Amino acid sequence: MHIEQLEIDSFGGLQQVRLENLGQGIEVIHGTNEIGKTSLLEFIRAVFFGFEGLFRRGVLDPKVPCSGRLIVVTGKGPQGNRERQRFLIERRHEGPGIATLTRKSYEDNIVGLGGDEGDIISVEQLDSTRRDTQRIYLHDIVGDIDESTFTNVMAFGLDELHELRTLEPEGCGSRLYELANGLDRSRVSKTIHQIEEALQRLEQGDGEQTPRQHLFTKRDSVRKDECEAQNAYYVGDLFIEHARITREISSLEKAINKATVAENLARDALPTSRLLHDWQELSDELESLRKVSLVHPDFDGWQQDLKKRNHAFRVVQKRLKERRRLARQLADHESKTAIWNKRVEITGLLEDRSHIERLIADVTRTEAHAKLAARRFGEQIGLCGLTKVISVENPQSTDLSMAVVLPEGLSLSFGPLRNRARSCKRASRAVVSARRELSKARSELEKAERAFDKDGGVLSGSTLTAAIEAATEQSAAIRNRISAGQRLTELQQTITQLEQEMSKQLASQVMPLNWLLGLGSIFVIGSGMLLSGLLLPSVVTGPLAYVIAALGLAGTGVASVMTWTLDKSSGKRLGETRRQHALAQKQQDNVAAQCQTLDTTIAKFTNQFSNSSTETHDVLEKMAQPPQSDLERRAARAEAEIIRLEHIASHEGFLRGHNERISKSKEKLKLALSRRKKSIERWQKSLEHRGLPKTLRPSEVWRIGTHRHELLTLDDDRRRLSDEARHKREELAAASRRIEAVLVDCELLPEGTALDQLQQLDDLLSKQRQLHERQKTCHRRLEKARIRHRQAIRKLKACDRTLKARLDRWDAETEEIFLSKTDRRTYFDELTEKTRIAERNWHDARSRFEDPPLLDIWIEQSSEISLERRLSDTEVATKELRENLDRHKARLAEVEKDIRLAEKNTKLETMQQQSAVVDAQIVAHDQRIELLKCTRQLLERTRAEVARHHQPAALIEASHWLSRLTEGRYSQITTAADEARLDVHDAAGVIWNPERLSRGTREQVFLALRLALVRNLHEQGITLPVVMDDALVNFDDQRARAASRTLVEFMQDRNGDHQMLVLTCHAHVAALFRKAKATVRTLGSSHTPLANPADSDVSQQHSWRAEEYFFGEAE
Amino acid sequence: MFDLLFVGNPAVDEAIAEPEDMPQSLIARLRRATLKTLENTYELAIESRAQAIVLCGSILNPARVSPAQLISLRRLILRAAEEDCETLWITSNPTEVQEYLRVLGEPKGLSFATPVHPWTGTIRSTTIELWALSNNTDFDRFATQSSFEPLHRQILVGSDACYTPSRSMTSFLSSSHTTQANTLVIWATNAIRALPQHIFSLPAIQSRSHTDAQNSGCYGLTFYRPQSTDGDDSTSVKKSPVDQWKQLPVSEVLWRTIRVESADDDHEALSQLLWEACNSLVDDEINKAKEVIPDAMPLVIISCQIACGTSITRRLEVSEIAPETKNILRERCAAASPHIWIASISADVAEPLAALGRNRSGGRPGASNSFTSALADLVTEAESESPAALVDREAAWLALELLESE
Repeated sequence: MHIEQLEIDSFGGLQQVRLENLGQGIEVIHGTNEIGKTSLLEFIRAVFFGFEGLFRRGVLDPKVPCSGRLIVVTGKGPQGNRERQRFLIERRHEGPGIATLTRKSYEDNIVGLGGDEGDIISVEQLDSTRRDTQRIYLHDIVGDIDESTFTNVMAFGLDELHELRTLEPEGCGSRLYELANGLDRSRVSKTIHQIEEALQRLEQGDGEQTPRQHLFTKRDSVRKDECEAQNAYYVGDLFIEHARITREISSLEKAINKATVAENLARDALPTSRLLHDWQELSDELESLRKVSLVHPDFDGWQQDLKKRNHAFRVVQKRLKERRRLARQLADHESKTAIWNKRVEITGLLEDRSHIERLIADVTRTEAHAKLAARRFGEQIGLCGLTKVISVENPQSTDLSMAVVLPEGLSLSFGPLRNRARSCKRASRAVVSARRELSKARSELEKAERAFDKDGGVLSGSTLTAAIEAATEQSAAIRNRISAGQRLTELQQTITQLEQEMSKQLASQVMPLNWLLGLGSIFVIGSGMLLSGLLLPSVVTGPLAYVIAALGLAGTGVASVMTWTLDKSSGKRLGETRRQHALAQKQQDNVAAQCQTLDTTIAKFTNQFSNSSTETHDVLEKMAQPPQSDLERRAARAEAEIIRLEHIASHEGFLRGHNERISKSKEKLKLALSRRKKSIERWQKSLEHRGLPKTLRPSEVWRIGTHRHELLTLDDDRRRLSDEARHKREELAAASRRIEAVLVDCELLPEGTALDQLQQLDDLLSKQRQLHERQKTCHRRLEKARIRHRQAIRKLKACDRTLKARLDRWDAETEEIFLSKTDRRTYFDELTEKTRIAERNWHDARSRFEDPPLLDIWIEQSSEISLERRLSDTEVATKELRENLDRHKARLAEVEKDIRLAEKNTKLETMQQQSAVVDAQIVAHDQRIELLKCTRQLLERTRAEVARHHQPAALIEASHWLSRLTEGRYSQITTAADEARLDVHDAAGVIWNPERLSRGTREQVFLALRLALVRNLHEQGITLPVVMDDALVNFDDQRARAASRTLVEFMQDRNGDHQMLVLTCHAHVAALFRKAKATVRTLGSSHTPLANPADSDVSQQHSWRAEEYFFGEAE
Repeated sequence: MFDLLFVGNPAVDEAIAEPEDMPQSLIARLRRATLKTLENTYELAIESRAQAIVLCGSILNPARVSPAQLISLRRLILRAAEEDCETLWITSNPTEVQEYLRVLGEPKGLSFATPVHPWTGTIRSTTIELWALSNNTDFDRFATQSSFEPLHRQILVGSDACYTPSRSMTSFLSSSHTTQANTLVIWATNAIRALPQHIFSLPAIQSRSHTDAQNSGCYGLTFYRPQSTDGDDSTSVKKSPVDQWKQLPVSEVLWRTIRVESADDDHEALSQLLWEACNSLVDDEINKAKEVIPDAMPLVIISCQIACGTSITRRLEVSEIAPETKNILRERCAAASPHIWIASISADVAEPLAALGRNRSGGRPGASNSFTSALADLVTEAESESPAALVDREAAWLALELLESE
């Protein structure tokens, strides 16, 4: 690949720079300092790898836009131009977002232009005949190389060249080793170092103990815990003990079986022996009974006493029955009834019987008198006509004679009532006269209205006064309109005269034509002369010219003055006339407007009249005809209308008088009605005050007044008799209530009259007295029965004491015991039977016994060892055996429980698990250490092997170029086996550290290394141009010559399309390259390159500002 | 039908180290795996009417054994005794017999064979002498006492505990006496090593890690039967003209390693690949176990090794995706096959490095003189000298991975 053309739009200090027709091989660009060579180097780097590095290093300001492009040619290989491809690579740093960018943004590696990855880059293929739509990526052109490698190996300046660090392991030094071994030597060292660190950590640890010791300590601790928790023989001993106890239990169970049999025998023998004993006892007792009498004498005495006692008992029972019968009989009588308890009160009531009979007679008599008085009172009411007035019965009254009550106000005087009747009569008469007067006024009004209608009626929509005023205004308006028309005619005549006068004045103001021609010619001549005198040379015109000019000037002045004078006088007159004409015109306009207003007013009146009266409408229509005569006719009509309206107004005055009279008659009627109403109200109020109905007429009131005193007297009698009857009834009722109360207390229902009730109480009281007598008799008999009963009881108790004394004497608690003791015949029979049964039981039991002879022996020996003793001994033995068995079983259960617990005890298994984990960790730890050691050993062996047998190919290549650069003084560059160190061998075989070499020699070494790397990169397909910026500045002439020759040789040694741009500021370096047949361009001069003049010419032909910038202005 | 069942290194008191992330259900199975395997063996012995069960090697340590383990073992011994199956305890120290008896509570049916007092029995009219070997002296004494008789068989049982590195095992096992026709030598060992041809290897009945021998289980010994018709010939591991020595997979826990090749699979594809391989492997193992015990369902702990075709980058990638792949695989195992546990997934450390050596075609960078080639050549050369040593290969892969990850 080579750069064919370079264009810089803006890049730092470079603006609009362009280099063209750059070719393959070495292109030397020579220029003075500060001309921009290093910027060119940076620009080429930036186009290929972006501006970010420059921004990051501060070479460029990210806020300033920069852009440029390269045209590169690639692919010129064995097939020549057929593989040739031209690409335009353009990179721009621009856009609105760059204003916010800073160097720090790029240091953080987080910001690109516009938020994208970085600069805007476009790659375009030029001269392409195919329409290949496939996108071209810069990476495909540049190849697999990063910016760092390109900067340090292929595009370097002096700074990069003479510092070893650029080829240190972090940089391209590692690549050197990779080229040789496929692996970075430093990585091997680092890996070994890491392994050693890991081993150190594993073997030594961080604390006091190594991890392995820690694990062993942990394992020992677990083992120790195991030993402490372990009891190896515990479980075995448990099982052994279990077996022993099982055996013992088996033997014990056998012994218990035997002891149980013996115990059962003893237990069976004991009741059997008892049967024998019982039989023997019964036999002995039977024999003793046979020797004595079986019945005692006390038995007969007991029988007699018992008979007496039974007789006494029967007497007691009889007496008791009698007593109970009498008691029941006494209880059947009611001891105290309500009648008996109220016997005092009843007796008192019976004593008042005569008084009650008198009260009944009095009540009958007074009631008859009261009824008679009431009848007379009623008759009197009917006589005086008060029946319909006082017909309401008093519902509150219980007395029928008092149902009719006289009004309370009847006792008042009836004199005021007569006055009230007279005033009512007067008010009625006043109402009648007022009504009559009102009807008369109304008839007169109707007559007047008929007369008014006959005269034309009333104007509709307006009052008569308004109609008269409107007719007057219309008449005035018509008169004014006539006078305004005359004034308008006069003004028109005046305006015509003023216009004629103005035309005359205008005509007199214009100057005569000959005057105008004369004055104009004088003015022209004078002006020409004046101008000619000023402009032309005095030689041409002379003094005459000045004279003529003066004359022209004077003529001009005279003409101007005359023209001004004439014009001023005529203008003044014309102005006056115009002012008069404008004034007349204005007046005419005002009068015309006035006429128009009056016409509108007249038309409005015409409409009004057309609405009000057809007759008036006709008159006005006639007035709307030809102006002048029509206006006069209209004025005459208006005056006639005014006269008619005034006549109607006089009729209207009459109508108003009638109306006023009607209204006065109405008010009078209203007053009379109100007075009559008040008189009636007062009359009614007086009636109401006396308790009389309002509807009573005065005649009825007069009749009542005549019988009023008699009525009042009868009413008093009636009331007095009624009260007396009432008092008697109340007294009788009180006596009846007392009787009823006594009946109620005696739980009797009060029925009938008071006398009947008294008779009932008297009967009941007599019955109660008879019952009381019978009760007393029964009580006396009961007392006697009680006494007899108690006497029988005492006799029975005496008999019982006699019997009890006999029982005590025989020490018997019951009669049966006493009888059994005094009479033993039954007992003897029973005993005989028992003895026989006991004998049979004994023989049966003996036959059932397991070993009868043994039983006989035991019974015989029972005197020495009792059967109970034998039984207790066997029981004790069995019990001891059982207890022993229980103890063994308990122990066995404990052992089994311990075994079960031991089986469930997982403590040791947990420890085993921990121990296994620790063991596994120890094994893993050891294996890891072993593996790491083996790995380290393997790496060291491999590294030694590689160092011994495989020297890097790149160093062999570098050695070749170093020998060429140094002309054989230094022959070889090698690398150490175990570290990243370069050794330089001189011709004498002495090995030099590059740091110890001179500056120039060291730069030769690094240049040789870079050439080797460049070749290696070329072999890998990376064909980017090599750019060197003053890399040979520290070389002396001889070294520079050798370097130029070697570089040319290096480029010629390569096949394919390669390019090296050598930027230098030294003329001798450029000359050396020129001698070495390299293409040289001189910046800032017009010298053409010697090696390729044709290209130089072309570049000059196309030179423009950029070339001027580099090569200077043409001389 | 087996005459004797041999159980190597049961070590009932040695737990199996539990992986940290194993679920509790599987841990419970792991904890009782040793005893469960022994139970399986005793059941098999009773079913096959074996005369005796021979316990060899490390059986139990009285200082560490737990009571529950003792009780379980004792219960098994008693149960076998009820079925007329004796338990023979091989111990090289005669003084330990009483101790073991006491520790186990003197169970019925337990007999001991020591270098001094052999166990003697008659199986199908043949007198069997079973000796324990402990050292050369025992072997010499046994050699002087033994005599070749037609109906007299001698069985010598030893274990790894009988020798130390200073005393080579082959020093006394290579004796010509061990090759006699009436003499059988059985060696209980945990190590993966080749024994002489005439010695029956007896691996541990229950392996405890991936590094233990794979052919774990008990081994059945059937003495010569003239008219054998049971067709076990095809499955016999080692067959002599007179006896059959057959491996019986009774282990409750199996440690297996599967190796698959994966050049560029992601974690999903890799987990699918491993799942298929695991299924195939587990089916085979379960079928084998069910041939011996019908309802056997051993827990299979699998270590997955991914062969990466000598690509270091792929090895590193496998290391990166291994955790996620393992999680996916474990979830599938938990859902479909709860008796599978994926212990680890890693790049195959046993993958040969020969392809990286000089014989590889040269490429860039470095071609034939690359560091990797040199390293591979060194390892290949070392393996050619000692084929069994895989540690160099593992170290080489580790080195290359470390260098690549720099």
